[in-house]
Amino acid sequence: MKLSTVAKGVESSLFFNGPSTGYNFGYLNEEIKREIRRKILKAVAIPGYQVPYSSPEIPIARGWGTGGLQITLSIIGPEDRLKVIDQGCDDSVNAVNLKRFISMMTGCEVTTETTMATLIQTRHRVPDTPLKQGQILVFQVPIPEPLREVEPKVELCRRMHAEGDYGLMWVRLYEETVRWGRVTVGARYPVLVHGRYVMDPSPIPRWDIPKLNRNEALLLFGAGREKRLYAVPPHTSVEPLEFEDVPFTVEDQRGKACELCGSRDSFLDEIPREDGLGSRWCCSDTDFCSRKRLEVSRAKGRALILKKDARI
Amino acid sequence: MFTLTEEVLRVQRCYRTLLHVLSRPGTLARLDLPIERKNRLVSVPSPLLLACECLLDEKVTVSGLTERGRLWAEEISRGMRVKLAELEEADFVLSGVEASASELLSLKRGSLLAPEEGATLFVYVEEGIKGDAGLLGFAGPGVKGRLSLRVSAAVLDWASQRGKLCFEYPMGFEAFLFDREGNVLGIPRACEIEVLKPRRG
Amino acid sequence: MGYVAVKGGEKAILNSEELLVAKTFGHESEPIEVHQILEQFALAVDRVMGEGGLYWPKLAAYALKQALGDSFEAAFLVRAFRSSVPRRGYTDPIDTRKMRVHRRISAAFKDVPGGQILGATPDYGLRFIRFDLFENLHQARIRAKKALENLARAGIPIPDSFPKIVDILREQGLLVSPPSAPRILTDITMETVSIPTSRSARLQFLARGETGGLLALAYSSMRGYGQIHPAIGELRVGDVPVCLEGRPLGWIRVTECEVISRMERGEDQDDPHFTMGYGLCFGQNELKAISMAVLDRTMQMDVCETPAQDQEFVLLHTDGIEAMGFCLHYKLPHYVTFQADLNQLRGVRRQKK
Repeated sequence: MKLSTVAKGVESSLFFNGPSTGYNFGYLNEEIKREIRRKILKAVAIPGYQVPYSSPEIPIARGWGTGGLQITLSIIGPEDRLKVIDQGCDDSVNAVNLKRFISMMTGCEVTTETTMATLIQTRHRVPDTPLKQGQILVFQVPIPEPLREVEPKVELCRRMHAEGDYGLMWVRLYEETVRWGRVTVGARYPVLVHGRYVMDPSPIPRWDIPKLNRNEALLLFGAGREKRLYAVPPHTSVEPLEFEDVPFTVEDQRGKACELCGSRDSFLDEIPREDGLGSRWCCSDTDFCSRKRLEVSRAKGRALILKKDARI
Repeated sequence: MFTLTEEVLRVQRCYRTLLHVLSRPGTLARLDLPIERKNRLVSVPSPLLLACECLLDEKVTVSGLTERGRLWAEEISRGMRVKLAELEEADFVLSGVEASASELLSLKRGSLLAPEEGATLFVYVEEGIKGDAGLLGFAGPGVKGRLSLRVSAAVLDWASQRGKLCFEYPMGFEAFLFDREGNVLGIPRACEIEVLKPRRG
Repeated sequence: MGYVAVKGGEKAILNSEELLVAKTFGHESEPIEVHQILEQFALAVDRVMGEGGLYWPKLAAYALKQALGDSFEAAFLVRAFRSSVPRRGYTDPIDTRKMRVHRRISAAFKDVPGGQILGATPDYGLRFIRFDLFENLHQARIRAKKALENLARAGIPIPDSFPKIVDILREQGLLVSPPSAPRILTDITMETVSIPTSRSARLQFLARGETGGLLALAYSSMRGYGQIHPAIGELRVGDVPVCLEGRPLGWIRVTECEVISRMERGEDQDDPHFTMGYGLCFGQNELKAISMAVLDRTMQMDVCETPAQDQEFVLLHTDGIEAMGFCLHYKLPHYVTFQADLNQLRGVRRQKK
């Protein structure tokens, strides 16, 4: 009997603070935001170092961008213009869903244009349009620990970072070059930040690795499930781990161009042809592609875009 | 769906300014200061108070450096339920600009395993950050090449005191310098500051 | 071009949500009322509260209904809700000696002071599907009600509280006394925990852990990977009073388990003694309480040779909400990652030629 009275009391007080009066700006309560904000500052001060944080649950599943989302929600203001991309694409279902949640909780303006955004949350890509000073790029990170594959234990990895002992990592890369003649890591290529910490750049393609180096924008990384966040301030050195005789290279896209905009200097997605004969290629960065098409059509003075759009 | 109060908006803006200056050492930005002051914390200069409201709560500790700094820390601790701690233990330290190198040396610097435990220092520069006393050169993460800034005598002195310290990176502390007008300068631990044109005499 | 490059993702998401909402009401059947879930799916509600980390039966029932009975999803809904409400304070430690017992078992002794209380349990019943109950619902209900009345008339009232078996063992010096509790406990929902971590943090992880995950690891120890030979000293299900700074708030239902495990020689004592593992979780969930107690004990070992003894392995892999999220995230597009790997594979092949 008593049990039910308690439940009722609890319920009314929770409802009072909960949905009926609206959530706090940015969904997270101010206490949680303060903690994340403090941790982000430390992350910025120690580039590439993984700062542990509490990582509260939010209404998006773990592994679906919670780390990036917690960072975004902790720093965003009503004046921000937000862009969210998944694999370079603004219209991917999960990007749309995250954007919907953030704008629902902040009322801030959303955009697909890289140049217009003040805050960009991304999964697995760095936009192909160069970022500008003042912009913030927030990465969703599945596995923040670059050493995880050589040492699964969190505590041992922590010690290796503390001592700057990356021997095991170099051994792994060396073994790869012996076995395959190259380092075969595709996405998530390990990088050295400010000459001190080896960092996981999140599963971006190699194509994006050189863009991290001395970028104009502030790069923030959030791994919600693993409860770690880290950062690369603007103009900070980010170098891929490489051997002198086996230099780092980006994806080989020679002879390929986006079939929509003709670009050769953006990362291209491969799409197998319906007829099974080879592949088509098009930009992974949908905003870059549509801007490029606009430029091309302006140059040619005809409306090429509409036709192409109809074909997607 | 959501509510946004003045308070929440003000600390959010303050935070973005702090984030901006810490990721771009040598760059000044200005805080959006509230017009009226809270009367319960009269002695704390309003830029410091705003920064404290933005980052401090019962989960962190505060301490003071220099006479005024200690006074502010006590007042913040009372007014905001932040635990007071010894200088060597405190997460946040409030300080006047006159702190010496030996005093700065006692700040918490974290460990190799947990460098993020290094302190955050809030320095109040009564006479202003900008000035004609000399030129500071900034380098390190966040700085494109090298950046210089004309500063007041007090800031010049403070920078030369900081310059005497030698912490093993990644250990160290972060500093934010504030002045009456709300100007703020961020100095992360990895930032190298060179006194380019010291004051004569 | 599948679910990525298609424009109008938002419309698709909204439609999908509508479809799901329609399902929660049922098409051909009457909608299930929340009070029915509370009463008739009580164990599912308990499980959701435990894994969701929030004691609020009605909210858990809402979550279960919204999640179409999926306990992972329901627990996730509850946990996400939890982050949006402010923390008012910490309740006082609960004294389970004051528990109003519904069920109480000791496997270590044939009979115990206060007696064994079976309560309602399928433990000793035959696991037939009771077609008779479902094919003749009305009659079965009348019969059950009558039986309950008879039981109530004939039964002896249960005492308000029972002595604890572990207290008896402790008085005899057979069981090591618990270390005095630290003044400040870790709060895993507010702090980042580094491993190895305090026992208070470990118990919190386990209390929010997913029942199946805890079971799998506890079972691995029971079966042979680092056995600790557990015996259930006492397993209790009942209601305990909750207070905030001395003010009573009410009662919550919990399951508590004390596992007595193999003997150890203490540091300062020469006599060997038993050791204990402890489990406590919201609601009635005996499987979880026992698994938790076993894992609490395995993680106290000095050696770390098996998965169940490894704090990192146990604590970081038994949170159902985290594990579920990461597992399901593989449904998200990964074509950029795949493209990058594909490029490397082709590169190596070209090189070989």
